[in-house]
Amino acid sequence: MKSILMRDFFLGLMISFTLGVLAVALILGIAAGSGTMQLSLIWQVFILSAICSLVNLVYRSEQLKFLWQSLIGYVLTTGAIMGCGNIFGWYDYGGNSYNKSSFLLLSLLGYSLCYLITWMMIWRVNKRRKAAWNSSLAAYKERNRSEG
Amino acid sequence: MKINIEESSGYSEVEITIKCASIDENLERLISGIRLFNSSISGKKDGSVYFLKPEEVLYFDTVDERVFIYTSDGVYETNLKLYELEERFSGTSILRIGKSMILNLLKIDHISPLLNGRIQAVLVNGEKVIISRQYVPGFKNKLGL
Repeated sequence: MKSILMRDFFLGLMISFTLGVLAVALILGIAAGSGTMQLSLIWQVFILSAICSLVNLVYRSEQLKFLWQSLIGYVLTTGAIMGCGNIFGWYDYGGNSYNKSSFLLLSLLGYSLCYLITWMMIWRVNKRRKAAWNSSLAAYKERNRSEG
Repeated sequence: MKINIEESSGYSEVEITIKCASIDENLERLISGIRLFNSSISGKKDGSVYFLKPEEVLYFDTVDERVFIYTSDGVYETNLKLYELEERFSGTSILRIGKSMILNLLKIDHISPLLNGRIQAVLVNGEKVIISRQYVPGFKNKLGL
């Protein structure tokens, strides 16, 4: 179990770090028109990715239901993103040309929307999978009716 | 399919021999049925020994290294080890689903995939059991998924 958690953590870290760097590069490119990225931003993204990967282990919980996992995951990752963004000065980036609270709110809404879309996709996939699996189960039981 | 039956007082035990070119799905089901028919399990309850038919069993579970048989009527203790039960019911609808549990797939009412790669099975009596990630491939294979 411990090794599975470790594997999931590092897999999550790798994925979120890659996505994080890509997202930052995209934001910098669009908002600041910059083609380069500061080295400090890379390790900041790495720290945030590590925290988020740690938080995402909540989805491996055997006790919590999907809804609770999603809720706890959302609250903690949102807190991590907002907190890290504030500590690392991301909301003051570019000489504070944006209103900080509006930037905070915008990033919160943006992240919440991404989270909701991902959650709905997972929910739909799970729903379809459940229907397909139960149909196979019914067929299996029908085939083996003579046994039971 | 030809069925040959030899009846003689010289035989002390019923022996079934299947001659075939290869084992297909239908034959597998037949063998599974014969195995189950021939596999009653003894279980102790309140000081008495009962002989249970495999189709009565919901699941087998281990608690403190003791193996229990769960049926709709009650819980019985068996002297058999979990791996012995697994071997005995190999190829039937009774399948290992966790380190300490063997489940009768015919007693599942419905299943739900869980996010962490495991499957929750709700049994016909409403009980919920978890199919461990390690045993999910075998379970899915059994259902033809």
